[in-house]
Amino acid sequence: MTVADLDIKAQALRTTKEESQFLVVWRRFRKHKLALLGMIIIGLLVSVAVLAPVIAPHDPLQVLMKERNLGPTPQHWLGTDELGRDVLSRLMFAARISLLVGFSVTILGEALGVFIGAIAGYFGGWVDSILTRFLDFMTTLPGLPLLMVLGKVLADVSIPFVSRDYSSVVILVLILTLTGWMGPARLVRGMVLSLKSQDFTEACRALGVSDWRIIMRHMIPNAMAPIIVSATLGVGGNIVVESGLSFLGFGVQLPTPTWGNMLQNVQADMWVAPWKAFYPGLAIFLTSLSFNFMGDGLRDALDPRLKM
Amino acid sequence: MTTYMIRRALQMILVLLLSTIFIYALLNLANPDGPLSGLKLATGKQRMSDNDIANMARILGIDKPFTLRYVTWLLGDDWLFGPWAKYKGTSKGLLRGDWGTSWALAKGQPVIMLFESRIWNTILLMGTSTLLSVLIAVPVGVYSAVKQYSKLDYFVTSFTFFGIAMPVFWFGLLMIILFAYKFREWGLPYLPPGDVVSLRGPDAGSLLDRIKHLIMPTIALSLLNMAGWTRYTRSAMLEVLRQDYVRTARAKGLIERIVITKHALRNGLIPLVTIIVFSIAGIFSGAIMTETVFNWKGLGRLYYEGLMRDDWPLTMAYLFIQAVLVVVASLTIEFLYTVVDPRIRYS
Repeated sequence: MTVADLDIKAQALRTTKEESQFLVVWRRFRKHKLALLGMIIIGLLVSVAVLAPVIAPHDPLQVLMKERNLGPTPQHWLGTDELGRDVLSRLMFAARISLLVGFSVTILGEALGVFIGAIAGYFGGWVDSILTRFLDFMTTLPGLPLLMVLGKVLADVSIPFVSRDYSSVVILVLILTLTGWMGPARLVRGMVLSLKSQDFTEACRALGVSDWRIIMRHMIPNAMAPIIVSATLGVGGNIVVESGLSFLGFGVQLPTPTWGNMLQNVQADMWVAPWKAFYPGLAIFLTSLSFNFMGDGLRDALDPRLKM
Repeated sequence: MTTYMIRRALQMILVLLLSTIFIYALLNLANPDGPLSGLKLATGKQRMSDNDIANMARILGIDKPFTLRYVTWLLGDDWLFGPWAKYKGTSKGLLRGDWGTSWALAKGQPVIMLFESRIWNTILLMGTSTLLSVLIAVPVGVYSAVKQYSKLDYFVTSFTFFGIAMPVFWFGLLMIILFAYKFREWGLPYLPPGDVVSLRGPDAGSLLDRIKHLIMPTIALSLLNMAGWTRYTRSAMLEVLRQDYVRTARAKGLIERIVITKHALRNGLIPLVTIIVFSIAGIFSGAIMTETVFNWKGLGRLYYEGLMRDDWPLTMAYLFIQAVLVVVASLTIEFLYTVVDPRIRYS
């Protein structure tokens, strides 16, 4: 019997269709109802953010001093703020910035972390000790206070090719990325250390595969499951951090709205317009909760052993 | 072991030095004029003469070149000699206990006095909140792990999701609206919206008044800790309960309560040591958000105000102490681990 014959036999024996990796994960993910709900909410939020210029009822930056601090009215469904700007429209445009910051910080931070972690774990020796020392050093820097200082001193820096209104967004993304890569780096370093000693890596080396290719094609794909989970949880976390910094006034600068800086002035009007505090915070909370649910669902779906 | 710890301590001192250089450079190179930048921008009658500005710079000690500024900030300028003698002053430097004087927030006040006036408020808030969080999180986490998949477990797990996703400042704002404003509007007993203690009123400064002010900030601060620590305890306990020695303990006929409390809990709580030590180290920064929302006059609020007003000496001293605390905490954890888990050996 030849190999070809065996193959034909095997195909005849196969009764159910082979499932792709993606379908397996999707089938498991679907069972997690809350994760599914989270995904739907995130989908909705992203659509609102993308379509904001089309669906927003008003200009988010238009100041109307006559219509200050209005409660909900037929014209302004969620009322107006202290400068008479429409809260609903601002919420929609804020979604763009908040989600953009959340996604881009996570993608850049994960990429940087994965890169540094993989190099440290794979090459070991002095490369690893230098990178680990650097990682330790970054971890001793005080988190929130440092972010506040960075936000403060870099607030006025102008970035080439970026309009003034958005330069604080770019700066915030850079700050959060440069202070947020340590988690994924540590994670990937650990994964690579254990993968490195396995037989398939040895086999690759024996076949003469280059170090770079081993890292890109074998190490990182094998460590992908926990990276995806940590990234999903990370988006939610980054949105909360961004909103916190913007709330304190050290993040995205007004008038560019984000969910965080919309809450900046609510305390002054707590007596007259308490409703202003509700929706921006609700948006942050719902988004962060959705990403947490989705991350949890992905963890179950991608790797049942990772169960926490 | 001892040599290992000494080596680690020396490494950490180096790390600290690096991080002070980093932070100092960041503040002083990005905005070298500090509060003077505003004066320099002013025009017309508002404008001070260049001479006056130069004098101000000398008084604030920011006329020196950057490297010298850093060295004198760390070691003081009362020993300067030779080419630097003209910068000689009276400051003793951070390492010799002189944290400088505030530039803007409380002009001329020693920074250390500002810290002393605020630290007890922070300790009160952080202490109450940490205690409350541990007292609730540990038993709930353990119970939830022991009764995995029960109704209570589902409830607890969902609660941790809410707690972790909740932005502290928004939760604080909502509480203020409900318990301070709405309750007052509805004629119910209400809580003060902020501050540590009332300035006026019949019971200003009394114990009851202080407790009333403490309630909302403590709940806001505890929510995140409670959620995180409950989840941590639960997963640590689940891990331990699967171990062979727990099965052995059950197999030899011990009652469940002893198995849990004597055998499982001891090992399950080791990771919690890390969290609690770091939470103590977080005394400076852990409450920035909460203190800002509730106008709680503690260190976090002090830092926020100092940073807003370009008060570099205050900001620098704060960041330095924060870094020292984190370093001390990580050394303490390494040490504590060898005590609670004899299997861990450093060499």
